Amino acid sequence: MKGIIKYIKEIILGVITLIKGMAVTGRYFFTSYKTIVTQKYPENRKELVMFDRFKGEVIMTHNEKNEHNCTGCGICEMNCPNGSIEIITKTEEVDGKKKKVIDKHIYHLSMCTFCALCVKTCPSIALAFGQNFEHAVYDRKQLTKVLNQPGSVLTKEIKE
Amino acid sequence: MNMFIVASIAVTVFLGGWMPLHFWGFDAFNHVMDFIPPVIWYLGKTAFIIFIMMWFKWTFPRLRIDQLLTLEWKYLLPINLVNTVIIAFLTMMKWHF
Repeated sequence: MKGIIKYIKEIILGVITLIKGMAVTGRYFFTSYKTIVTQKYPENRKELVMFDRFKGEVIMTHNEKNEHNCTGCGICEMNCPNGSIEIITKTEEVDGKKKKVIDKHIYHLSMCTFCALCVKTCPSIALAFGQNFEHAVYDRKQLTKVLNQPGSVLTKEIKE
Repeated sequence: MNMFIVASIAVTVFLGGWMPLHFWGFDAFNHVMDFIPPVIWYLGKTAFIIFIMMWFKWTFPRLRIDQLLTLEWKYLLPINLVNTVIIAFLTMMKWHF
């Protein structure tokens, strides 16, 4: 007998919570709120600014002198879980010593899972996440990007 | 269109179809209700059911398959059986229109 009372109470309480949920959406239907959270996306493209930690795509940060921080160590390539990064290095003669310098940092945007491991593990803080999210293209080759800009070299400042 | 078909079946079987809304004894109210043509009653009731269906769609998330099965076998089917017994009792005692 107690089981049946509990069962009926369960059903009634369940239906009451369902009606409470419907009351919330019903109220949203009839009232208009001052702060509407949804943005009208294609119409507000000019003023659209995403939040600071937004993961749009991986970029290599360059300063005004067109210098980046990438030493070509390859740690990001080792840490990438599905191999979306390829590091191509070349050896350069600097002050008579042969040094390894980054030639091309190839980033496959089509395969990237946006896990942020490359950004996190880079010892020279060369990579970051950019704000651009409109990546749709007609040709898949445009999704394979070279992250270091042409003519840019490793910054001469001493970095930790 | 699917929603319209289901709503019209529900209206015809459960909600009185195209009949106007009458209450026992409120003769003036019933007389006013009779002026509205039955087509409007039918379409209005169907629209109301469709609004309820859309309201459900806004509010509730989808159920997992195991939640759906426990809902059916543990709650809906027993209630249905009890409903059948009650209907049999009411028919026997002739407590219906």
